[in-house]
Amino acid sequence: MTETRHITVEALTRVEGEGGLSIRMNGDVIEDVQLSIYEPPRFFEAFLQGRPLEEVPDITARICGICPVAYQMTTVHALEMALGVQISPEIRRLRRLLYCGEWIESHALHMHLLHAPDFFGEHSGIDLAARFPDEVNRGLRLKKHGNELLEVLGGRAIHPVNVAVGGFYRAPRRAELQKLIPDFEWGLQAAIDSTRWVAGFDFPDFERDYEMVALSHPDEYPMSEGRIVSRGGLNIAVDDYENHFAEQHVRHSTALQSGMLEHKSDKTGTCYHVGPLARVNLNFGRLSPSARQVAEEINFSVPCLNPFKAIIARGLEVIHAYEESLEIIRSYQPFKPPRIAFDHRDGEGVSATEAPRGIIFHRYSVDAAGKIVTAKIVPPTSQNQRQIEEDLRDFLPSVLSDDDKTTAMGCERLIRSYDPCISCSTHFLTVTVERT
Amino acid sequence: MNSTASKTLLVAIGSPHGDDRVAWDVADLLASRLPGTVSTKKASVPVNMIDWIDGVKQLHIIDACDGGGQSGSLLRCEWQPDSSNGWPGLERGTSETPEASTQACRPPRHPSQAQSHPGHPFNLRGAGSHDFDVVSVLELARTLNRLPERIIIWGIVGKNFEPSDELSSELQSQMSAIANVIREEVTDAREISGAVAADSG
Repeated sequence: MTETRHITVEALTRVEGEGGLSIRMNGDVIEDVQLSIYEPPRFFEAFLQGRPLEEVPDITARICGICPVAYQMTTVHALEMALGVQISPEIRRLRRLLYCGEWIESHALHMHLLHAPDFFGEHSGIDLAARFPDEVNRGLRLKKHGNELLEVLGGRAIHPVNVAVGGFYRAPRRAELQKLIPDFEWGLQAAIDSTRWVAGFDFPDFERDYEMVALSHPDEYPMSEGRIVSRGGLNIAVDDYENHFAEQHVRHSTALQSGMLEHKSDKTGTCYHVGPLARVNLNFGRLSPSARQVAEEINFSVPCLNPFKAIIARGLEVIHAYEESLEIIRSYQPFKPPRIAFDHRDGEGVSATEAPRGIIFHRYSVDAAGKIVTAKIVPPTSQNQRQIEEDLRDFLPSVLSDDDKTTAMGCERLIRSYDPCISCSTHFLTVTVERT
Repeated sequence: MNSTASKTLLVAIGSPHGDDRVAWDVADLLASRLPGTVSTKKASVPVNMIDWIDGVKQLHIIDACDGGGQSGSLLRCEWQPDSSNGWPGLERGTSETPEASTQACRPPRHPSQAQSHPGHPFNLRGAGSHDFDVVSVLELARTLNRLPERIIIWGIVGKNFEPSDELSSELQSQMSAIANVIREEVTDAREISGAVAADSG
């Protein structure tokens, strides 16, 4: 007998994308779980070919309206590697500041308006706002700070145009950054309060022995540079990424799925987990002092293997981002040149940076005329997609006996904890259960 | 972009992709033609509106849409909160260009948006994992008692929304007329350059 259940859930407005979840069961055994998503960066890979390399940071920033910095930063670092450009320490610090702005903006929004409603059974952030107006207003103010920082460094509120291969088109004036200090001092304390708030949520009792993957750097919390490490002991240079991770087409999704390869002849690999929880687990000691202090206070210790607790990891990273932002802003002095000059040449470059929702990898080859020959973009969601499916396979037995609505809500909560960026939005998740 | 300390705020929502950028371009056209009492802001996601609305009395939102008329048509709705049914309604406005249609319009690339807010004649920008749609942002602002007194939503009908698209010729040809219609409403008539005061000579 085959029974098909269609579950429509508007709450998935809080997960971007056309999310279709298909579950096949044999009796009580879950045989297959497939999450289908639509993913836009692949279009851009083709679109970039033949374009002048100077245009690429602006084009990749258009892939996502929420995390343009992640795409831009990964682009410029990869192109600089291809061109042999060495940026100055001042440019590097300013880029970290820009990344802090994006983390603050993205994490604050996800924590307060997208993920927190799940812990109170609320349909949306609007409903949560009615119940917790002070907390939601605080989250919105944090989000605003992130946007303001992006506006100062990126040149405007909409996707940043100030980022260039070799640096920035213009370094900000000291006063432009200094005026942010009072808000960021308030924001640091507010981020601490928000993290304490989310740490008090009632978390599902669900853990998995994840293979977590993140950048790691000996001197700093990873954002735009480092080696790729994992809980299982992987420790490789970024330019070795494609020898250890591979993407493959799966029939049920337009997005490519990434897998971590176990040996050289392995073509598909196994699932792995990227994002704030992976970063915190693999880099806990390099979080800022306030973030570590709050973690201790709320009894957050690593390894933390509960995906729902990614909301706490986001809180810790917001604290870190505020603390590092303040440090950079307070010591900032305008510098010259804001952009390192370069000559065109044949070359290939790769880069991995940490987008708010996990590692993002780019590879470009360029020709002597300064045109893009090939481009490869691996966003974090395609790397988490298989992990989400595996999580659901383990998680579903605990909710499948519930009614359709409850089952779907349970699945959504788990999916949403990854803050997936699936692009083209829809307002329902169709869960299809085939029983034989 | 000027400060939002003034009482009227115009927010243009868009992306760089084809006709989805039309609101930004209209805002650019208007920026130098609006009095100092009107602030303009560009946003790539609707939720950023909430950063700027405190202290604003009149909010104008411009966004692209598809469907609802010929490309280049301008649609107007006024947000009228109706607490009795739980959802605020959007009253259908009058057509502002000869080609305008009052049919419901869908957001570019977000065809399922209509299911989220049935009955709204405007369904402009869809929601995402990191975002709220226009209607939800206004609802959020209302819940937090941060809603401006008056809200007008302008929809500009486009047809090309793919990442590699340019602004369509229909929108290019209508841009100036669209900007003028919005400017007349956004701006107090007495502040329009060349206007003759009623009590003058």
